[in-house]
Amino acid sequence: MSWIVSELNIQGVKGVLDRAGDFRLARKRSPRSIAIYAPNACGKSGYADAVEYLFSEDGGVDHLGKGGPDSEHGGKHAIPHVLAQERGIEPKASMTVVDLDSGESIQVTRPVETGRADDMPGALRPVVRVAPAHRILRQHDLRRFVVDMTPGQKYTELSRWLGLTLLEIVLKHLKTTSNALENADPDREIDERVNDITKHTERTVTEYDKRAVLLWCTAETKRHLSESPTIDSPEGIDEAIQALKHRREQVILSSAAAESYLAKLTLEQTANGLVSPDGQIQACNVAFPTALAAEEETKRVRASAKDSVFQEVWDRAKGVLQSRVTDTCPICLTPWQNTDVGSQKAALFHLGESLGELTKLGAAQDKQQKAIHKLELAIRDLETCLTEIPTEAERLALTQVEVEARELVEATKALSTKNHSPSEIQGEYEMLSSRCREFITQTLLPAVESLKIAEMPATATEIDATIEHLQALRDTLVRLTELYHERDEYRKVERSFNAIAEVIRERTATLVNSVVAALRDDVQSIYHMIHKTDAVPNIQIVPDSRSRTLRVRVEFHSPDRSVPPAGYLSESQVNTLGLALFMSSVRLFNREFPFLFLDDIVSSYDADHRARIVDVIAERLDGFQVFLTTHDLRFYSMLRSRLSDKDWLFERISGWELEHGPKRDVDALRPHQLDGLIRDGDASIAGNAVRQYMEEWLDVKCAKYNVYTPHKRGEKEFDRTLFDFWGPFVNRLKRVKGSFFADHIEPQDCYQRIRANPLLNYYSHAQANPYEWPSIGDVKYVWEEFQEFQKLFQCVSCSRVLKYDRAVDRFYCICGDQVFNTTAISN
Amino acid sequence: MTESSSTEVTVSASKFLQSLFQEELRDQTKHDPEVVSLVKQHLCQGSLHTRAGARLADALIQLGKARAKESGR
Repeated sequence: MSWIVSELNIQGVKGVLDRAGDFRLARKRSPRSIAIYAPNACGKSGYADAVEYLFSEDGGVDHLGKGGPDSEHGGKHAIPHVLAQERGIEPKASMTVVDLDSGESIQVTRPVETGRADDMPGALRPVVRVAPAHRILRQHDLRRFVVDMTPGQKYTELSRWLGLTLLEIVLKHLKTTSNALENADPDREIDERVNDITKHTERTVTEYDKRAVLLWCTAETKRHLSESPTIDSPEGIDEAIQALKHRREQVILSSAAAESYLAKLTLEQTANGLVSPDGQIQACNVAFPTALAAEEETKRVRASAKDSVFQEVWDRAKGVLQSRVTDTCPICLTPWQNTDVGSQKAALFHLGESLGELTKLGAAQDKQQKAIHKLELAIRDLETCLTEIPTEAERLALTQVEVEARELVEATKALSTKNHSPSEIQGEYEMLSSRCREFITQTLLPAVESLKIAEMPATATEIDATIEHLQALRDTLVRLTELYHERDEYRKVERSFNAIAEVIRERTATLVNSVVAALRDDVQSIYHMIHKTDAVPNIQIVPDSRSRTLRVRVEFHSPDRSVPPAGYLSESQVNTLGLALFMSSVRLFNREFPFLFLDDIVSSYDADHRARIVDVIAERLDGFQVFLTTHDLRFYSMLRSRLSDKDWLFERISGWELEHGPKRDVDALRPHQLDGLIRDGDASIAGNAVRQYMEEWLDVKCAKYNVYTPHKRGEKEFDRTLFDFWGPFVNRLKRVKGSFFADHIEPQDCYQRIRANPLLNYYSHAQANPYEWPSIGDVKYVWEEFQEFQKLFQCVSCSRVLKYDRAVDRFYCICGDQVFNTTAISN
Repeated sequence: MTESSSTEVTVSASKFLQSLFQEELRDQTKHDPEVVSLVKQHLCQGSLHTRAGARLADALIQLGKARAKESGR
């Protein structure tokens, strides 16, 4: 895929208002470059601003800054033409790009937005993506990459050129991952756990040494249990803890604290028993809904087995109806046909159904009885457990516990003695269940846990402390084993990750290095072209993909002296380095969209170096589509003479008006180029080129034949007009000795036709605008006639251009033969 | 372009990464395939999450934990 610009249209931007902003930069699929000469302050940089704006990511133009309208640089508000709003002209830049491979054409228009949200048009992105390097270079940008950007910015810029921005982000993420893995959880927790070992071995062991910890545990246990075995595993610690607890209980029970201890133990066991998953409260909570459900079921079955009181009657009736046939109902003696059921058979069926319902009802009632019995037992158990609490609480002087427990015992008792169905006591039951749970968790257990038994023997307290240490050490050893195992796996994963990350980093670095090597060689070569006779320093471009920096250095008169260019090179050398870097980056990275804008880039160079830059443009940018502006006439002339046989357009801006913008003139082209423009069919472009050519030709001839014209060649030459040349030129021909004009010029059809054309007869025809061409046919007509007119000044023998001898006022040719096809001319 | 120095230099980061994963990092004798898969899953996407690096670290830590648990059984 390779894109070219076929059209560029600018309006209402900077100095360009409603005309002079249209450029056709391709003929069919052949791209054309353009060079525009303009004196200062004629609006040429407005074109660069418009193109920069069109391609900018966030709608900025670098040299205008990002400030508001009152900022020093003017900000984005300086982009629209000052009269654009007043004239109702929408400021915008448009471009049509064509893919040479597929012929696909994209037309992109970017209206100038002065607000913040101003992203590059999406349609332009595919083009920019394949050509990521900067495409606009201006005089003040030459130092940008060399001097102004930091090494980090240079590296980021290079990554962008390479299309590796995403890879840069990936590398950053790899770094983040690497750091996160280094500080991963196991290490932190291992440190915390080792601190626990230090704390619970009372600083005897200060690192993870399992054997030392177990030895400490063994020694501590032996202090209280003389016949304790050696502990050799965490499970051994568990056994030691059980033995210590037993020993502790023995010690307490043989002391004055025994009663309180037992009371506390009872309360703890009761409380835990009540709230455990298979405790009394849970048993009630299971039994109650079961009883409730059984009650509901009984009600339901009873409803369908109504009139069950007549079961005995039905049994007998069924016996009768099964044993013999009757004409009447044996109960009411009504003939069958007069009963609701209608027949003996139907009556027998209904009786069977009803008897079945009664059987179900009996079963449901049994189930209900059992469920209610179970509930009563559960409530009674609850009551029994609760009854133990006040006594033990009183023993331990836990008054609040005692009072609340007694209330609950009463409430439970009241509930169990009521002979009501579950549905009738549902509300009371739920409240009691909730109160019990609340009492145990919020009153009883906290009170017991915070209770200190006053007469507790010191030995028991010491054993308590040992148990606490052993439990903590046991947990720590188990957890540390897990953590070290985890850490080993982490490290394996981390090593694998680091190996992968290293591959990505190394390959990225290799890629960057190879590209930089190509870039450096190209930069060096372009630099050498411009400074051919100078001592060319060896340029170093050094990327570091780890620190993501890129440094530009030059070897200053010694391979060992590598210095920053800005501090040691001259201004023009630094600019050349910047220019070379820009051109190389475009050459290497923008080949898929080879369009670049060079805005006044030669200001800091002398004439010799400008000629070298012309060589660089002609030779190194061959195949690129260049939009070049300059205020340097000599540079422009050199370009024109070097590139006139290439697909280049040459224009001059001869002035600028606030009302309209730059006044563009197509610079005189060669005849074959004019033929091409006429074939293109744009009357305005071709017509102006023809007029320009005629002006140029007449200007040269006027100088040659000593014709007085109202202006001189040189500084003000852009003031000339075609009809300013024509009149004096013809008058001069008329004054040539003899009847030269009358015999040789005047009779010619081409002269007569040109003379009569409005183009050369502007004043007499009062044409509104001498530069307007009605149609391409008019242009072609004038061009063909003018070419014939030119031939009048060529030798008929050898076709050389005639020379003019001022001294004798005659035309001649160096071939010495006959110069005119008429002999009537006398000298 | 007429210059012979116009080397093929413009590359796509995603293509570059894809080729790495499809070639060099595919070698299971040199690289842990589960880790490679996680790196690819988190960092070889068209658009990267702003916390892709941290997320990858979490995923790798989880992988380590899972492996520790599995081998501890």
